[in-house]
Amino acid sequence: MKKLIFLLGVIVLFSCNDKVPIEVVPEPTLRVACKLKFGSEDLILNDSYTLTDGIKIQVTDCRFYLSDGNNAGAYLFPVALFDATSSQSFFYSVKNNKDNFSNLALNIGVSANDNHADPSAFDLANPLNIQIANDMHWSWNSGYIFIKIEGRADTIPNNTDLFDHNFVYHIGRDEHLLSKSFTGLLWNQVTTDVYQTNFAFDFKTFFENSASPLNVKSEFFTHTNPDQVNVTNKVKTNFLAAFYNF
Amino acid sequence: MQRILFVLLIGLIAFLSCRKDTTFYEQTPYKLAIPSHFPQVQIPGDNPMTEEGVLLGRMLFYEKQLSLDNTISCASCHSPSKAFSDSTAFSTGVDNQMGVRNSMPLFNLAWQKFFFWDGRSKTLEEQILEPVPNPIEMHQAWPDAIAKLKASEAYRNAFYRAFNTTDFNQYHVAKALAQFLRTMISGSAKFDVIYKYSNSLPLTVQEQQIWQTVTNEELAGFDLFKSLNGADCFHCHNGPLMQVQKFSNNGLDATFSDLGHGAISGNANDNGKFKVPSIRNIGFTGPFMHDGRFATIDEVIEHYSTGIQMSPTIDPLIEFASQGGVQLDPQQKLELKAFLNTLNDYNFVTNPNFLPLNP
Repeated sequence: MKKLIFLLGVIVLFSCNDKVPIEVVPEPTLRVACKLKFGSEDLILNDSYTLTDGIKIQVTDCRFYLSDGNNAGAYLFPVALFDATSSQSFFYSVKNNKDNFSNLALNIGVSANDNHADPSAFDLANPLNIQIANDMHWSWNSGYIFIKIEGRADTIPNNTDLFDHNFVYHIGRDEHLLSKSFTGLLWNQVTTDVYQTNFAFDFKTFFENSASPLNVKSEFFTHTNPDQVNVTNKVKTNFLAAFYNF
Repeated sequence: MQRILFVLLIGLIAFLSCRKDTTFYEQTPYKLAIPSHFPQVQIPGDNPMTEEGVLLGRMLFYEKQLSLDNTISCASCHSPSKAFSDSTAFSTGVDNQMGVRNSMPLFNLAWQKFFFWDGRSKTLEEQILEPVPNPIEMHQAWPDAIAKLKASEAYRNAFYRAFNTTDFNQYHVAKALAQFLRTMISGSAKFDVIYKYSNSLPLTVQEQQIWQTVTNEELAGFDLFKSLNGADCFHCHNGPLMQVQKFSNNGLDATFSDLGHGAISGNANDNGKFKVPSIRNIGFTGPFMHDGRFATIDEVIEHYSTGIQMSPTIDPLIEFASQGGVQLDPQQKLELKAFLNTLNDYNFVTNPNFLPLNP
């Protein structure tokens, strides 16, 4: 009888357990996105846009590497590749807390170490793997193309469209790594657990930056060769001016 | 008693000789021999590489029963000695029907992101399904091809070993062929030694010996190949695979009789664009371009030198299009050709693992 009472008591003790299940809060997802713009309007690849001087442009390709995105040492991303032809609305995604990234410093391009590494040796998911980098890598030691902007221009401002003038801006090499910082980074809530920060690249500013306007008629290509330094520097300056967070 | 034993012995012998072979389903993983300077490969999760699958694929590659009149196999238009391409501009199918585009060489397919000149197939397995029923190629309905294969005990056993089924279909055939085709890796040409050396990658002892045979003419050609003011080839023919994964209009025509990728995407900006091929094994794979219009490497070089045609969708990387091309002089053409011939992988075209099992 005593044993039975004891047993019943044990059963009652454990069945009255008042532990409350712990709610697991999922870690939020942070996304990084970029839109192409022409002034205030969205820019669509292969569509025509008119510069102030009447010259029309069509952008056919816009890709660039961003690296070392961090806020005082807390890393948002090691390296990411923006590709305007991608159908995905964002180009980088990670589990992290947006409160860690109220500000952001980043490089446009890749570090010297990565720039001269074997592109075949990176992980398949790494944007620096040659399968993803594709034609964003020069196959000898120069390394990656940091910024690639290509397109066509109609340089005769009349009513007849003739996009027979190509422009090609390829920026690479270690000494042309760019940096930019953003304070007060804007995070938009996409869903309960997903936040997105949006960057934009404005082609109107890229060509018409008041500090160093790029004349697409005469300054229409660079591959970062030593004899192309003037256009290279303009592309770099104007890229920084055209790239912003909103 | 002796007679009884004798009869029993004869019966036993008869029983054993009439017993059917027992076939077992096995999945022996196949490890691809990927060169050290090549990127990793992503194998589809629904078609892992197995020894059994590769062997079956090799049988099927040379199987003429896949064609309506049992005269044509994959190898008929993809010949090993031609780096698995064809020697004519267009290949001939059953009923003497001519193809409409040049037969593409088959190597390094594991790294491709789309297939056919116009990129209409996104996977190798998807691409493989087309030639058999195509009226200008093998012109046989898949059910008929499968019925022929099922009539063969050897194939029933091979499919069972590879896929654990004797009720196989065209998707099993495609998977087996894809496994075999993925083994066809070309990465041991003289160029590969030049690539590794110029990228400071370690060379084996044998590669160091090959490096000693590289000529000044070949190196001069390599410089031209990657020079913006030279031949400027590297924008599209880049990296260990010697191609980038994209479609391009390389200035063949001012107007297009073949829209290429534009016919698939429906986007006028893609008209006249075709898949950028690898230029590996260029010494074996002529004639060249999507329509095989150039019989020789010399003609290809001449096209990029003086023969570029402007059109609305021409690749902006054909930077000297307005003057007809890169304007190489005769010596430069010789040097470039010398370099291009370092891309020929003799190990690949003679690899016995890619030849028919029963020649």
